[in-house]
Parts: sequence; C-alpha cells; structure tokens
Amino acid sequence: MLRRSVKMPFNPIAGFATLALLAMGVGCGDENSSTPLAGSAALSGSAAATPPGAPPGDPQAVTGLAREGASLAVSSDGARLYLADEDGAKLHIMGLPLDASAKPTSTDPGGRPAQVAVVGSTVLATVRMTKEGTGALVVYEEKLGDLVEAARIALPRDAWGVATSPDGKRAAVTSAWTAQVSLIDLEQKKLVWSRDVPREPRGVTFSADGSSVYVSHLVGANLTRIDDVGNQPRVVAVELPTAPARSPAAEKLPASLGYALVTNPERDRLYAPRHALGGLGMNQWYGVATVDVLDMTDSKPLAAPRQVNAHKTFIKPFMERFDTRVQISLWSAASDVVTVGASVFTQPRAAVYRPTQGTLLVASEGSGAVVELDASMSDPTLGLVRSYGVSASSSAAVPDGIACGAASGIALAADDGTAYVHCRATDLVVAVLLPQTPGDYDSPPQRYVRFAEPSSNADYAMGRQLFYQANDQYVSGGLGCAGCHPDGRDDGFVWHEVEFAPKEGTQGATFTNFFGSGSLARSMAAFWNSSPIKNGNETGVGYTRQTPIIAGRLKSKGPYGWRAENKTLDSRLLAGFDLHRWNESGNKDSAFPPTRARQLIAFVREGLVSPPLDPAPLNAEETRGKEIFTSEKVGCSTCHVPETDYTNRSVAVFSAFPQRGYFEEKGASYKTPSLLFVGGSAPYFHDGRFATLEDVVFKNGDQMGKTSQLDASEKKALVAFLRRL
Amino acid sequence: MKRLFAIVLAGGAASAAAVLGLGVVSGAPAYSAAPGASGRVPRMQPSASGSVSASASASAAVPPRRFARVNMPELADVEIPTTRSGKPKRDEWQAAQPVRVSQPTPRAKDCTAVVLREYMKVSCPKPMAGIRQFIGGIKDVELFIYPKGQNLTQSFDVFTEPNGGDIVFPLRRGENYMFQFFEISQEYDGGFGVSEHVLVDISWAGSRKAPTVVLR
Repeated sequence: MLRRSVKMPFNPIAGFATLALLAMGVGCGDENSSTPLAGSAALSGSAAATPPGAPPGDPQAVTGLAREGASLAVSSDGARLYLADEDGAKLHIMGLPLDASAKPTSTDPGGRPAQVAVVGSTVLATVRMTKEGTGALVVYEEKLGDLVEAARIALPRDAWGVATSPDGKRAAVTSAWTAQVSLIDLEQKKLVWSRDVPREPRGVTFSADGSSVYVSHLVGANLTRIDDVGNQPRVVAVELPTAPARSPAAEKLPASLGYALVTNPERDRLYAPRHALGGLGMNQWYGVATVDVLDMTDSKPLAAPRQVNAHKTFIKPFMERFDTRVQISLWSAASDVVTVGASVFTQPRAAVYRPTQGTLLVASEGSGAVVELDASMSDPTLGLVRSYGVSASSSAAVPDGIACGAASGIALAADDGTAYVHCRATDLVVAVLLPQTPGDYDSPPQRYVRFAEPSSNADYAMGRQLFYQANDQYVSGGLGCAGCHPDGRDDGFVWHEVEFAPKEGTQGATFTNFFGSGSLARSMAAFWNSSPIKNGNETGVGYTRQTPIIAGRLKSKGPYGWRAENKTLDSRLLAGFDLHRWNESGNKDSAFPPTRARQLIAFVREGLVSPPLDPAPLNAEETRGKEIFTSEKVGCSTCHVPETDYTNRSVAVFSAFPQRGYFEEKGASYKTPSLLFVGGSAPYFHDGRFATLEDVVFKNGDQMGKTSQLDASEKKALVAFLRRL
Repeated sequence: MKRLFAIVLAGGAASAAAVLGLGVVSGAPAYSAAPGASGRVPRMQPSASGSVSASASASAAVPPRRFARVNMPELADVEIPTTRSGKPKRDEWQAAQPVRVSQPTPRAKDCTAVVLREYMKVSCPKPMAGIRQFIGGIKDVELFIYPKGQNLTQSFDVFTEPNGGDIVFPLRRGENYMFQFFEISQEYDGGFGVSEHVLVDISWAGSRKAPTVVLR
C-alpha cells in the first residue's frame, strides 16, 4: 500500500469536541451497522435538520454519511479545510478559522485533483489523470494531524465528481471525458463496476436508501440515475426540464454546466444548478442560470412546464389613461418573451444546502458571488434570499483588494454560519459569514487564505480571470468564456447566429449576434423594430453554429472562425467580443479589447488542459482504422491533416441540412474542423446533425472523404480510430 | 424587468404601443369583488377572540382585511380533500379558512391565503397592473384584478380606489403552479411604472403530506 503523509493544522478545541462527542456515542447512520468510517460526529449538511420550508410529517430519513464532493470540504471535526487544487495539482489543508498569514500544507495526490469529500475520518479525492494514464480515487485517513494515503483506486480517465452512500460503505465517482460512473467499495477499497452514461457526467449523489445514484451532466438537460447499484446496476435517463418557468412555452430547452447535484437533508429533493440554454430573460441572449428540482421519491420534476395558453390579466380597460411609460411596461410584462424573475447569478459551479435556513448556497463562477436561494420553491432561482459579493468589484470584496475570481467550490462550516468559497482563478479561499436570521446582509469582514502564488506572467493571470468572468466590459457580455466552454470543452449546443439588417431608411450597420433561442431573437428584433432579421423566416431563425472544443485546439496561428474569416486568434477573439453583445463591446478605438485578447490567448493556449486521451498504443482495430483514415482511397487525411491537429484549416462547401428552428444556410462553406478530441464532442457538424461518430461515418454521404465504399467492419474500425484522436 | 423596459423605450415607443392590444387580457374575471379593501363583498374580520366572522364594510377607507396570523393554522394542518370539486363560487369564499403559508419577504407580508375545499385563494392588496400565470395547468385557475377601471378619471385614482388582486387555483398532489402579480408603482419622478410584485409558487410533491406554497 502506498503511503504518503502530510502534517495538518490541528485545532485542539474542535478536535477535543469531536472526541467528546464520539465518547458520548453521537453519530449518524445505522448504529447497528459497522461502518468503515469512524469519527462522524461533527457532520454538517446532511444531518437530519428540518428545513423551514418542509411541512411537518415529512419523511425525515437520516441520511447518515451521504456526502456530495466539491473542490473543497470541511473536516468532520470542523478544524480543517481540504481543497482540491486542480490547477496546482495539489491537495491543500488549511486550518480553520482561515488565517491569511498561515500557509496551507499540501500533498501531491498524483495528478490534478477535482473533488474532495470527507466522511468521518476518511478523506476522498478524485484525480483526473494519473501518471499511469488512468483516473483515480485516492483514499486518505486522518491520523493525529497526519493525512495518510490509505488506498489508490484506478478508475476511468478524468475522474471528477465523488459522493458517498448513506452507510458510508460506498463511493460513486463520475469520469467526465470517458463518460462513465464507477462504484467503489470503501471497505474493500476496490472498484466494483463502471458503467457508460451520456456525455460529461459531473455531479453525483446517492438516494436516501443508497440503492441508486443520480448524476448530472455538463451537456444536456437529462439527469442519469443508476438503480440497484449493489446488485445489477441499471442506467436510466431521468427527464428534468430546465428552467420551465423561463422557457419559451411548450419548449424543452437543452441545459449545460451541470457540475453539481445537491439534496435536502430528507433526500426527497434533488437540486441541479445549471444553465438553461435558450432560457428567456432580459437581454439574455445566452439563456439563464437556474436550479432545477427533482422529486427523488418518484424522479419527477417539481416544476410544471410553461403553458402556451396560461392565464394573464392586465388593466387594459383604462391603459390609455396612463402615460406611455406605463403602457410600454404593461406590454412588456404581458409579452411572451418576458418571464418571471431575473437571473441573479451566472455560471453556477457548485452548491451546498444550508440546513438551518432551508436554503441553497450557489457559487456563481461568472459573477463573483455566492447567492442564497429559497430551497422550498419549485424554481429556487426565483427565491433569492441574499447575495454575497466576493468579487473585486463588490463592496464586500476580500480585504486588500484581492479579488475572488471564478467561485468554483463551496463548503459549509459545521455551525452553518460560514461558507468557504474556492476562488479558482485567483488561488484563494475566502470565508463568507452567513447571517442566521432574516434581514439584510451588511458585509461583515471576510477572511481568506491564498493557497498558491499568482503566475508571474501578468497576461496569463488576467486571462485566467477573464476566461471565467461574465461581466467584463469588453469581453463577456453577460456570460464568461467558460459558460460555453466549460473546462475549455463545449456545451454540446447549436446556437442561432442571427444577422440583423439595418432599419429601413437609416444608416445603421448590419451586425450579428448569437442567441440561445430563436424566440428571443425574434422578440428582440421586434422590440427594436429597427433591426429586421436577415436570416430568419417563419420556420427558423439564425444559422446553426455549434460550440467547439477549444482546449488543446488553439496552437495554430490561424485562420480561425467558421469560415476561416479571421486570420489569427487575436482577430477571432476581437470579433467574438462583438458577436456576443450586439456589436457593442466598448470603444473600438480603445486599447482594451486587443489587450484583453492578448491576455485571454495567454491563458487559453497554456492554461486550459486538454481532455485526457488514452495513452495506450492503438489496438488492431484502431490501427486498421488509422490505415483507412490515411488512405488515398478514402481521403480523410487530405483535409484532416494529422500533422496539423487533423485539419488543413481551409474551407469547403458543405450541404445544407434544414434543422428545425434554424434558418437554412444554402451553399455555405466551412473551415475544416480539427478532429482532436472528436470522440467526446458529440453532436457533430456545425449544425449538430449527427449524434454519434457512427452516424458521421455511416451517413455522411461522401461529403467527408469517400466512406460509402467501406464495409461495416472498416467503418467500425474508422470510428474506433477517431475515438483515439 | 426594468432593463427590458429600457430596451423597449430605446427601440421606439410607437412600435410598442402599436402592439399594446396583443396578448393583454385573458382569464377574464368571473366576479368583480375587491379582495383587499373594498366593501363590495362581505369581509371576514378576525374577532377579538381570534375566530373569524363575516362582516360588511361600505367604505374604501376601511383598512385592508388582515387576519391574525398567529391564530391561523399552518397549511399543512388543514385537511385538503383528495376528491375533485368544482371551483368555489364567489360567496363560498366567505367560509374559507385563512392559513399560514411561507411569506418571507416584506412585500408578501400583506398578502393573505385562504383555503376552501381543495382550492386556495391568494390575495394581495396593492394597486395591480396585472397577474400572470407562468407554469401549471390552466383548468380551475382564475385571476382577478381591481379596480376594473371603468370609474377612473385619472391614472392616480388607482391609489385611492379599491384595489388588489386574487389568484384562485386548486391544491392537488403532483401539481405545480407559479403566478406573479405586477403592481402599479409611483416612480421617483412622480410618474407611474409597472413592477414585478409578489411571486406565488405552489408545489405538491408526491412524497409530501401537504403542498408547499411560497409567496415572495
């Protein structure tokens, strides 16, 4: 057994309190069962507290040792904070309360850690890719100030999310890029099984009885449930419509950014913070952030869909007696594009349930804030209780002007009175004091710890913040780069690239904007009444533009853009700043946009980590596929040149393919895309017409090479090779 | 909402006004009683002992009806029939049971909730510009706003006339509704505006004994 140890800060008061509680027999779980995980006295979060919103008589199942992981977690005795520092490839240990002058201790988990979970005296950390070319779950034991590695369990590559079962005997781990979920026996410290699930599984949690696990995904609105995990695991898709109150009526929207899953203490409600692509809201071309709620007892969504013919009544009979402002406001309130509430956060990245208040705390990666939401509502997003600013621009900024960039993880202290927030882009953990009573939050002082030194490359350091930040004046237009390119990957979404013509009789310029929904594009055009849509008709709006993966694909000088219209990455970014914000990204004569582009390039080329590819040599079938790929007879490599990231970066005419809701783009030519990481970036083509690589190879109609002449086994081999790129 | 309004204004008042007639009214009221302050309908006033009795008031100056929250049962303690019945008629609401629901925001504190059979009526007393249903089925749902406007001569009459709005909906296991009141507000410059007011969220998950009703 590999053993590594590291000294931890030890809080004697909290430590002795824990020992005292243990001596009194205080703990969770079935007292008759022998759990492998001792020392569970000071558990927070999943203790059987009654949230204010829960009516009496509800099931109060004690969920014991069930935990969902995050990038940081509080030790069971409340004395330490563990942080999975993915960018620094370290596991940090900080004493509590946070002390800016105390340097954290660290250990090397053998790769980039993604999440950490604490169960009793056991600390679990997922590692995305080890030196051996696998993912891993590393099991540590706390022993008198030491953190000792007790086991290292190899898992499918890109191990990311972790959760423990109510009895503490099992852990479930998601492997993001390889799209698998694994069950680990923590008593035997071994992998029990792995199962294929849809793309990018991330958040994971157990049901109240431990027989099922629920999984969220970065791509798509469905959750995954795996039933009967102890015997014959079965993978089931669970429909969870995203932001139904803010969707166009009768439409089911796609979702993204499903990093986290959280339950209430009773485990009858499952909360899925994510992004509703195409959700309606004020100026929200990109959609809306949301928390969707599933009833875990029957796997049904709590919120009903928005109705086409829902009731509304307004004071029309005497509207004419009011001034124009009221009339316009009334029209807006009654229009179909307006939805309930406003988005109060952007790019949800992590969440935790706050038992004493019956609320959810959500870390907003894009807006540098933590929001507290009413968890009793069918759409908690609409029940903002408080917002805690942790960014540099907020009045509650961390002392000394230190900014919390990219709030990526959140953990709750055992007393429910402090939230610890992981600020990934600025290498900080900050403490946010939470009021225990209703009322306004008056910005109490915050504590923080810096766990890594900033990069000496100032451009890189700023670019790292800009990549996640949603509200930079020049770059983001309400959604950060990471909002569509989570981890530098893609959201699997096909956007509406809408071209607006100048208003008749004016000197206005044509401009283009992306929209998550064609409905919103139409409505905005109607609002303006000055920008008719050039590429829209009664059946569809905007050209199809699928989000591409960018991590590891930006080494080339250029050209970039769907039609290779930008010679360099700088010019592509500058164009992008406009594309996402009505051609209004600030003063075009200003030096800021080019500076911003330079800073972002420094980060996206060096800081984004490529998806972890299988390091094993090609097998026989894959080798055969490679031969087919490079053969003159088939011709794939003519355009997808292996030496230049599997692209020649030139344009070719492609057939139109009418996609429902979009405007057909006839006779268009597109730049040959890179095939790097193509195995994990479904759907395919600019319009997402093919759901799988098999469809691409079997059904492309010789638009890409001459694959129709291949027999089934050759096509299968070609697909196998493509998965290795 | 305010930002959207700003966009509309920037885009041209004429175009917006041209479509004012679209999609403005549906779910027409079945009766015209004022829910919060008027004397047109016999009101239920809490007695000194805390019990509820019917009384009538003829003056708009009478303060809005308020229930003594402390004596109200929690919604979870009220027996809600599982059988389906028809929507209550106007007069039936006099016998409704005031209940306590979640009202965590100051603006929701003035609203009241009453239960009759498997129906709930939520009433809020502000001058209302309108009410919208966002999610949930439309059967057995009714929205009412007051005043009706026929007697108003000036726009600021809305602040002196009986006003408010009611939402009536069924409480049934597995069903979920969401509504929003929009109030007429007086702006800093003396003009009028329309603002989002109380949000009403109703859900009854299959596993829960009682529905969850949140007014925020």
